[in-house]
This record gives sequence, structure tokens and C-alpha cells, in this order.
Amino acid sequence: MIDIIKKPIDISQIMKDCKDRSAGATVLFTGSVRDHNEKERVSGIYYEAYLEMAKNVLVEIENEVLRKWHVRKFIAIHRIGSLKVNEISVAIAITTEHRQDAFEACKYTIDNIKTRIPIWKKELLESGNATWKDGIVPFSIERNQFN
Amino acid sequence: MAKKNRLTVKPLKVKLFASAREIAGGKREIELEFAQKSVKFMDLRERILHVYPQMKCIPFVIAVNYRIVTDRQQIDNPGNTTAMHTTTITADDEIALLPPISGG
Repeated sequence: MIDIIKKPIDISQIMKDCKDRSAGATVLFTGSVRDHNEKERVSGIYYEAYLEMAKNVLVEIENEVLRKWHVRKFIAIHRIGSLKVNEISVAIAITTEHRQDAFEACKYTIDNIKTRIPIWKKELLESGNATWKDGIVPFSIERNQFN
Repeated sequence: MAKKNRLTVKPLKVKLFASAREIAGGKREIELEFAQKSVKFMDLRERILHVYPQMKCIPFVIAVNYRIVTDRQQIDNPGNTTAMHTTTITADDEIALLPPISGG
């Protein structure tokens, strides 16, 4: 199950949804808003998504995970909109029979979310400034597409 | 005659996000007119940079119908991309300009 939502991510609901009687392991990862970046204090982050494509890519990642590992439950939810420090921006829960698959699949999922999903974050700084965070060019496109 | 052709060809609409949207003065979508119905990907890219030269500051990519157009064969994820030099675009395609991403 994947989703991109504006309301706060409900971790207790995710933990209920990822239960499976045949599984012995669940790995839950959450990403949240830090109070600082490399140079300055951060008061919050505004997340923006290309919603249709972001959902498509999340489904692709889910399908890849289901092909690579024996996964009983897959949940990946990304939040968008304005988040304050400490609020959860992304949550991933992977339930598998044994723990190794869950750890590996969870790492694969967050690594691919960070490099493939068309979502952007604008840091709101305590100084009052706001800047789009330097990001990753998806798929490391060859230089000759750039000028 | 040329004028008539221009009017009958629907403009390409390009969705903009994040820093790219701000460069375009806050527009979520821009329209670009071409004389012909089918436009080569590289011509579209050139036109965007001609209209918004400041876009050269951001290493953006373009997605057509939710697939990133690239000339690089994606070994791990071949389904996510479309070849740059063979791609042509019409007004029926969904086009989006994507600055470097930073989700998570």
C-alpha cells in the first residue's frame, strides 16, 4: 500500500495495517523534519509533489520490492504540505517472514524514494528565509541534457 | 497560411514545480506554441531554455507521460525512462519539468 497525503502520518495505524500472522519481522522507518541543515536552524519544511508521477513511482518501487524479497506487507507513505520540526514526512513499514528481508527491503525503499520520487522540499529557516533544498537529479541523467 | 497553421496547432503545456515554478514567476503551467503538431524532445527543451534562460541554473529533467526522458539506458529501472533522441511530443502528452528532487 502506498500513499501521498497531506494529513499527519498515523504510525499506530501503519503498525496495525502491517500485521501478518505468517510473518515474524516488521521494520518501520520514519523520516522526520530536522531542526537544522548544514548551516542554519530550520523551523519547518514545505513538501511539494508531482502527485500523479510520485504515486506511479511509489507503485513501481513497491513492485520492485515485492519481486526482490518475500514481503508479506508493504506500506510506504509520504506526507506533503507544511511540516514542523519533528513531524514525520515519510514512513515505511515492511513485514516479512524473517528480519533480513525486512531490513534490506526497507533500505531499498527509502533509498529509492530519495532518488526517484518527484517530491521537493523547501526549508523554512528560523532566520525567516526559505530555500529549496539542493536535490538529486533523478536517474543521474547524462550531462548533455543540460546546457 | 502560416498564421492559420499556428492557430490550429494546440500549444504544448508544461507543468512546473518547486524552483522551476518560481523561475517562471509562480506559474504552475506554461504553454509553448510550435508550428508543427509533433515536436522533437530536444526542440522542446531548447524552447524552454530560450523562454526562461534562468532555467539553465537548475539541472532539470523533463518527464513525458510520467516517464523521465533520458539518453541513458537505465540498467536497474528501464521502465522508468524514455529515450531522448527518439521522443516526439504532442499536445496530448503530459509534460513536466522536474528540478532536482529532495523527497524523504
